[in-house]
Amino acid sequence: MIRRIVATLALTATLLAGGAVTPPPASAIDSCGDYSFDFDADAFKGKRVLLVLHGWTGGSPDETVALLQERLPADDWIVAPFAYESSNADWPKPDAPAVTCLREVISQYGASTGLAEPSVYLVGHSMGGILSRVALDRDDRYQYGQLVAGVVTVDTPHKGSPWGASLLAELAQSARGTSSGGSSAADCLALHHPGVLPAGCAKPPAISPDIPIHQIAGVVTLKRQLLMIARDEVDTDSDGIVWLDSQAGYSTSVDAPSPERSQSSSSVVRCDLGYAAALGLAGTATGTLVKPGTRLTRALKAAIAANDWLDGTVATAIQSGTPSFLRHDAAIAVLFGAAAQASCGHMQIMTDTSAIDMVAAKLLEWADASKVRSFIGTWTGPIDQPGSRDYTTELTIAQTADGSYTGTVRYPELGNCAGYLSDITVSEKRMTATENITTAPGYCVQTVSLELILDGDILRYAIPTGSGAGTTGALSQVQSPSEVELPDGAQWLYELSTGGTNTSGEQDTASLRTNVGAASYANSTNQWVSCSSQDAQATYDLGRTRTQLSVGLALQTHAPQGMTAQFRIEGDGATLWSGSITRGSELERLDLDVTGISTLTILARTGDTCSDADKGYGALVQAYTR
Amino acid sequence: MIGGAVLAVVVGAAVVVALVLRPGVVEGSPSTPTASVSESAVPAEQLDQLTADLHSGDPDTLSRALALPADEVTAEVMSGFAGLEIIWDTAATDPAENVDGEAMGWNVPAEVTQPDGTTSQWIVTVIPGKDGLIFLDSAEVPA
Repeated sequence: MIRRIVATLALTATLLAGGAVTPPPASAIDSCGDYSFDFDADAFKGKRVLLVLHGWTGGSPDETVALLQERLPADDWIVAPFAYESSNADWPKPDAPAVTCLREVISQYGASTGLAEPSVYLVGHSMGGILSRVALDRDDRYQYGQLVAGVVTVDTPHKGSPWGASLLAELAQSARGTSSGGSSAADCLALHHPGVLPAGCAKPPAISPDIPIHQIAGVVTLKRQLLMIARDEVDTDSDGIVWLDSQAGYSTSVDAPSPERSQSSSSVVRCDLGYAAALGLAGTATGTLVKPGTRLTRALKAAIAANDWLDGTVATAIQSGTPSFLRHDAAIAVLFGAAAQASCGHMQIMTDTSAIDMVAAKLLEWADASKVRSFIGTWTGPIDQPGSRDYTTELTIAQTADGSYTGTVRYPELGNCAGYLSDITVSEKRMTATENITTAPGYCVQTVSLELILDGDILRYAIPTGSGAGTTGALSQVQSPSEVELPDGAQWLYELSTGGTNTSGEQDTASLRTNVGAASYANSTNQWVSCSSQDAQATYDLGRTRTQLSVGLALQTHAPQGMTAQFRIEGDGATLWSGSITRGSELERLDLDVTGISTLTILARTGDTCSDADKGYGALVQAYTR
Repeated sequence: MIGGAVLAVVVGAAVVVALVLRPGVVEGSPSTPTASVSESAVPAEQLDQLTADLHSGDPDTLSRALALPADEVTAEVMSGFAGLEIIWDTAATDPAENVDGEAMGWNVPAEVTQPDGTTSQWIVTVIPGKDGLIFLDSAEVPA
């Protein structure tokens, strides 16, 4: 017996030595102390960020990060570990270092994406889910609903675990955990709801109601195969460490008031542990308990284990949800075996294919939903106006750098009347605006109030009051052609300092009519087109530091149909390119050599009839220099 | 997350804790098995008896052979075994061990033929019980 304990301890020491944690390099985020969160802000631009958090006594979840990155498109997602090894034995509380650091990482990563919608996602395994909840506390002063788009918890003990506040947990934490002086997580992982946590253990709070939370639970079944007949012998109702009602217990783990507008959901990953393997585990513990000194053969020990098992003692103890450490040693051995050996067990689930697929699917679903939620883009579809003939509209909505919305509208069948939107207000999925017709006003009511509601993939158009009341429509978003990616070291043209005879150089979402319909392009530059004999000019300071200008020249959808404009591009007064562009013509990109040029000038004018517009007819589509 | 190292600690700790707090106590009296798993070879005559028990179609006999409560010996279980031809390869038997490497029974390869003639290969885990071998578990060998 002593030999067995010595061997176990020796094995433990060996394993722990192999798993020693290397101190991380210096952090780029101040509040993170010795945690390392260096990052390249440029790499985050335009992408969604997924942070993967490990659990109690854990380390950097690199394998899970790799598995998730494989499942999430790399041009849209960055997956990063959030590792807090130096305080992985501390219960997450608002002032805990890991909480402070996580908030800072969320802020910095989120700001670096540059996306208008929330773009940071968290996946927390076990206590990592508790850490996420504390960092995103609904009562906290931080407004993370603006940055965090969703939280997935995996095997998180929302209502604790029967192993919490036990001697076993203390021993395990002593062996592997590291504390920075906070409350002991081994104690605070105790069961609660019902019940209270030990003194000094703050209950995990509800998160901001703007953030959806999805709980993934692992449940191991002990399975027996009687040749062709499969039998589920024991549903452990747990992952070996955390029981199902706790893994999926977010909404019932919060003291009153319960989470308002809570967006919580859950799903279960099930897997099997073979009956013979379970019996082997049960036999380990039970066989060990035979009175020291008794001369029993190993065979008899195994038989004792088998008898205990087959009598149902172990199964009953497991299914009770609260096996006793002193009375149900075999049950405990089976549960820890399930946690360690079953593919969806507590220690395995973060590399389980089904669980990882589930996490990725939920993240992509949220990301798609957030895209659908966006009003940005060009919409088109039929309008139903009582007493009027059929007609369609083209509606383009953009967002400026300061977050405010702009919009243009056009009715091709109504004399091509067109205009812009003003007084725009947005509340989640509802936008209201005043439509102002500026082109061909004789064909359309000059000013109406619009209500636009996002309904899945459809934008519902309505004139609820006033002239045209009762008019409705269902608009579909026009898919944009593939967009230009900004090359390394390049700058969008609108980012350069500008001048000229007309206001220009502003960032724009260019809306174009193409031979396949309407299209919109982010990161374009507004270009005014003169309707007199004098060109509209916009200048850009290249400072002789640039070598290439890449640009698509176009007239936007709010330009009069059939309009043609003459464009000229000059470098320090010398013509680099000139030509005519007609509204609706195929978009082509120019790549011009601007080496040594100090001032770039874009000139444009048209001899066609013009109307008032709130921005230029022209667009320098996704123009950049490098 | 709890790693494999922690499992070792916890199982070890469970053993220590149990020994400290409940020395020498085993609930109930162990039944004496009729075979010793210290034997390297599965007792052939007991394996033959197990085969006969599985084919018996008798609920009480199957209840013992499968260590199932009598009310769980369904018609499916009885008919399922009754129609199978099981040929054991006792020469290829391996000890079935628990996680400590202790023998607790035998893994016996078997060729199983169903009434429709379909044949499949299995590894069957049998353990000693007080009235003979018990069919504990099985795993099909991929074709």
